[in-house]
Parts: sequence; C-alpha cells; structure tokens
Amino acid sequence: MSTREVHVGNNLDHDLVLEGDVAIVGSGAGGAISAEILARAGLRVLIVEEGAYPTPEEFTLREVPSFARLYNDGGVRPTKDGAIAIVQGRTVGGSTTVNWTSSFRTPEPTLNYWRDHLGIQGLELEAMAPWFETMEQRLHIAPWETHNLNNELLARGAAKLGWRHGVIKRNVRGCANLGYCGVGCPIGAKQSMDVTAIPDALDHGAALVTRVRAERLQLSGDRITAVEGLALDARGVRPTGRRVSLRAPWIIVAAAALSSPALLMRSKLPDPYERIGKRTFLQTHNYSLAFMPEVVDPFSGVQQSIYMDQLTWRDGVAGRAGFNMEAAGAQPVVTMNFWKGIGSEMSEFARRLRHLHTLVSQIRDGFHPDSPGGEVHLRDDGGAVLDYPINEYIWDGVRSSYLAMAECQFAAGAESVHPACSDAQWYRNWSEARAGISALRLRSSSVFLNSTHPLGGCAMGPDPRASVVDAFGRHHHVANLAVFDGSVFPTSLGVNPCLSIYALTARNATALAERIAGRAIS
Amino acid sequence: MDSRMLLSRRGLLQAGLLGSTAIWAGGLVGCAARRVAAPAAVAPRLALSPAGEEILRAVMPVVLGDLLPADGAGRKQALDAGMASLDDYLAHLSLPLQAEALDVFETLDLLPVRVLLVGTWSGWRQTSAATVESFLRSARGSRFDLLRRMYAFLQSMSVLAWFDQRAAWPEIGYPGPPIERPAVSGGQA
Repeated sequence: MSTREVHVGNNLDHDLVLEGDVAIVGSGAGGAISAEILARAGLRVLIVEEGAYPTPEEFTLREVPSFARLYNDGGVRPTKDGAIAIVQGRTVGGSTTVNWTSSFRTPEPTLNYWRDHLGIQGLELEAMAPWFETMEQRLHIAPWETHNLNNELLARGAAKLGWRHGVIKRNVRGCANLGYCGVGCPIGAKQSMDVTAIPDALDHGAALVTRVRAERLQLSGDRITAVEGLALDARGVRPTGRRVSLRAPWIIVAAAALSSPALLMRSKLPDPYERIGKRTFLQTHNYSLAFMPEVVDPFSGVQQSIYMDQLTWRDGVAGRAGFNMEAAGAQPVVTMNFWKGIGSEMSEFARRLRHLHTLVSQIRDGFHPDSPGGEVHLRDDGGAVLDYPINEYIWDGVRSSYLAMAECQFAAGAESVHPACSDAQWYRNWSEARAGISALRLRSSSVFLNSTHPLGGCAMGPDPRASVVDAFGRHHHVANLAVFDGSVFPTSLGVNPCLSIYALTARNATALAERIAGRAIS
Repeated sequence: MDSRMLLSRRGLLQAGLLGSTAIWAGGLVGCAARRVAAPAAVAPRLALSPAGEEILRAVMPVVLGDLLPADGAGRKQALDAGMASLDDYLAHLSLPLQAEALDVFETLDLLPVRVLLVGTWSGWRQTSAATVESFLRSARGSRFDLLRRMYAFLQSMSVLAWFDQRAAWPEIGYPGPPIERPAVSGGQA
C-alpha cells in the first residue's frame, strides 16, 4: 500500500490544482462508491469533501461536539420556514459516517412507480438485484438479531396488532452493540464510507481533498472543465482564501440533496425546464414517546434493528401519505430534544429516561399530486435552503402515524404515550390517545419534525422536461457530468436510503467506468 | 421571507406581533439602541454573543428546573460548561445560521421586546425565573409561529447545554459512553 494522498484544506498555504481522470464532489454514499469503482478501474480519481476526516479513534462519543463537527449545521439544517430540521453528515463518508446503519433495498412499489408513472426503465427489481447483492457483500450488510428493548417493544406491539414487521439489515463488521452509530462508530465496525470505500479508493491512487467547499463547476461549451473550490478553516465555516481546482474530463456531483442541486444552480448549468432543485423530498420523520413499566435504556444497544412497514403503502402507492415505523432511542441529548417541556415537566420526564420508549415514523412523499416535495433555493451567500411547505397531505401522514405509533406503544404495554408535539398531552390508554390525537391541532414548530433522508432535487428520468439526469445519472445537457447520490431519486423511497444510493451508484459508476475505459469492468 | 429573517426584528414586526401597540412599540424601537448593555462575557466566545449568553443563562435554569445542581458552585459550573459547549456548537454552524441565532438573541434583548413579550423592564439577568417561565410558556402555546420557533430554539439550546454534561447523567440514569475518549476543545464537561 502506497502512501494515501490526502490534502487537508484548512492547512493549505497555497492554492492547489490537481489533475485526474474523474473529479468527484462529495465523499458520502454516492461519492465514495463511485471513487472506489473508478479508482479500481485504473482511473485517477480526485475527491473533494467539505468535512474533515476523523479516524474512528478520534470520535468522542459525546453528542454536542459530534453534532457540531460531523453534521451539516449541527444536525439542524432548517427548511425555509423552520418547521423541519434536515440532518445530514458533513465529514468524510458523509451521512454514512453518522447514520444508524439501517439498510434496505429499494421497495418494489417504489421501483414500479418509477417505471409505470415516470417512465424510468432498467431499475426494476430483477435488474437491480445484482447491484444490491454486490453492495450487501461489499459492506457486510446482513440482518441484525440482537435487539435492544426499544426495538423489541416495537416488534411486540406490531405482533399484537398483526402488523407486518421484520429484522433490519445493517452494514457492520464486528459490531459491539454499543448504540453510538450517530456520533461515529468508535471502533470502526460500521462499514461506513470513511473506513471502506474511501480508503480503498485512496489505496488505488485516488486523491482526497478535505475541508474544501465546491463552489462551482467551470462550464466551457457543453462540458465542465474543472471543479472550483474554496478551502475552509478548521471548523469548516469560513473560507481561508486558498483556492482548490480539480481538473478532469469527467465530473461526478455527489454532494447529496440540497447541496448537489445548489452546486448546479451556482454553476449556472443549463436548466431549460427549470428542474434543478425541484422535487426535493424529506420522508419527514415524526416521533412518539412512551413510558414503559420495564427498564428500556434507550441509549444503549443498536438503535434500529426492527422495522414495521404494514402502513407504508396503506392506501396504495399513489394514495394517502404512508409511513414506516422504526425505533428511535439514542443518547440523552437526542432523546431529550424530542421533549419540549419546561421546569418540572422536564425534570420529571428526564428522571424517567430509563423507561422511555421512542418510535419514529417516516412519511413517504412524492407519489401523489398533492406531494410535489420542496424546492431548493440559493441564499444570498450561495448556500442552499429548502422551501418545503407542510401541506394537508403531509399533516394527514403526521396525524395517522401519531395514531399508529401510539396504538403500537400501548399494544406493547405502555403506561402512557405522548406524541412529540407541544400541543399534545400524556394519554393513559389507546382510546384516550385515539380521541386526543384525532382532535390534536397540528402546527409547525409545535410538532417536532426532522428528516435524516433528504432526497431528490436532481431527479432522474427519461424526459429532460421533467428531470435533470437520466437513469444512469448522466446530466441531460452537460456531456461530461453525472450525478451519483440521493439527489437523483424522483420520489422518496419509503425506507432508509443508504443501500438504495450504494446500489444505484454502483450500477451507474460501473457504466461510467466502462465508458471511460472502453472495456467491461468486472 | 428570507430564512435569515425568520426570527429577526423585521420578521417579528412583519408578523404583526407589535402591530397592536404600534405607536408605543414604534417609539421604543426608535430608541432600540437603549438596550441594557450586557456585561462582558465570562470567557472569550467564538459565536455566542453577550446578549445570547445573558438570555441562555436566564432560560437554561427555567427549562431544566431542579435537574440543575441546587448548590451555587455546582449550578455555576453547569451554566459555565453549558455556555462553553453552546459556543463551540454555534461556532461550527454555517455563517447564515450563526447570524440567525445572533439575531434572535439581539431581538430578545431589545427593550420593547423585553417589555412587550417577556414582561420585564430589567435585563435578562435581573428577570425573575417566574417571569422567564411565563414568557416561555406563552411562546410555546402562541398563535404566532415565530414565537413558537423562538421557544423551540431556546428550549433546545438548554437541552444541548445540559444533557451532554457528565454532571447531568447520574440523575437521569445514563451511564455515559461505554468508551472513554479525550474531550475535544470547547468546554466539554
């Protein structure tokens, strides 16, 4: 193994110009898998990442400093009206470094919807299966059978109600069941990009530049000639004045939803049908809190190992907002942040932490005319902000999932349930909860909403009037540009997205490698 | 509305919160420079303004109630460590978000806002816990999204400031991380 080439942006004392075969913006699920495939094909790969590159030994396991350092905007990147906090990683490995490892294949109803309603060919279940298998092997994705009580209770409630549920697959190797995935796996067991595809790409001659923000793509005719970046200070906040230029005949944008479309917009790339940044989805997450008679210890053990998907397609794929259900226990700051109490409400709640059971629902969006998603806009400083108004379609999903989560928690034996909403109250049984939640006033900033699954904004599709890239991630108007990340999905997914991004990227990056190399890549 | 302005003075005025007392408020906004001068921060800060620190030192004990140590030294340590941790957190946010946080603090420190919304003529440090609590409760249940957002922000900052501290853990039964790692800079207690 030769020395790995990593340039630390905040330490640069001169402008940096690198030349290669492919330049990649972003080192998360899309960027890293692309880098590995292209570097292994013998190409000189250049990767630029806005975050830093901590090693597993450097993760502190402390919540607040980790949110500050490993997440974009401290894990609370707000939508335009502030109603939803977007949670995205900003570190080498992107969100894979801080996600909870829940790995799902793209559901068949989603793939079929893309084919039947959006005309996307080649991504059917059979066609994608080999790519899912390849990535599952690569990242040691397998079912996880050691459930903490927070998950066990979800299974118990779902079983009592006869709701379909199952075991989650996770990308781990030698996992010690600590439950600290969200602050960076301290033992390197999580097979996130920072310990898998990125080091592998570096060992195959790739160069990585950290703490550099890709400012714009340099367009010349119908081709991009370079990625122009600004080096940032050690916190990743202020430009240092040093510039970084990555020159390559092929460019991959993999900066994720919000940031990928924003980069295309800042670069003023052709967008004749104004599609860039449109149809950005959040799969909005809402939460339900319950106290259980037994000790749950939600901060300990793998956070997510059981899913419930009985209601994801409850009204058909194109019907009312469906949602899944998963456990959402974590360390005290995350857990306490679901609760907006004051004084004695807060102290009484906190003192019962060990008995707290927390569920999350993810409300799928993008499959219905009343669910067009949000739009990315550029702020004055060039940064991205997502305008995602919450309409009645989404509120219906919020109310329905509050009801379902409460029903599930009471079925699992809860003593009391409280939706994560300041206007709600503690309900002592299911009938009280059903009445209370049905009448509950749902309004922004009172309902706790966030999203760890921002998707879309550079939608794929066959028709340039309705999409930004084709189903191989190739930009409709710029010859040497591809987008390989979660921003290409034309709807949300109905499941946690990481494996869908790995698999689609593996397919599309392999096709690109073959095109560049002019031969088949095994 | 630009996201930066959501919680700003202009946003507050646009939302019509002060509209019903426009003449009075107008006069007071006119002499907004008469904010109570905040005393120098106890430590040099990267991103937390003196006004922000004053406000959070008043809000944090109200939000957390008797979870905070009762004795003077323990409480001071909890607040000091909380402020250092928040300063480090805020200093890692993008500049527009940092500016928005500063704007909230500046707005809440304006005399007319303190008088009309919080119900106090004195500075945040001198305002009683009961007055702060009553402001927080009314903001939480307000019909104005802007005030509910302010509540969520201040409450959330208090949660961040406390529950990551070792001193918070025995009371809530959290054993702490299973692996000891050295703290990073930024006042982690």
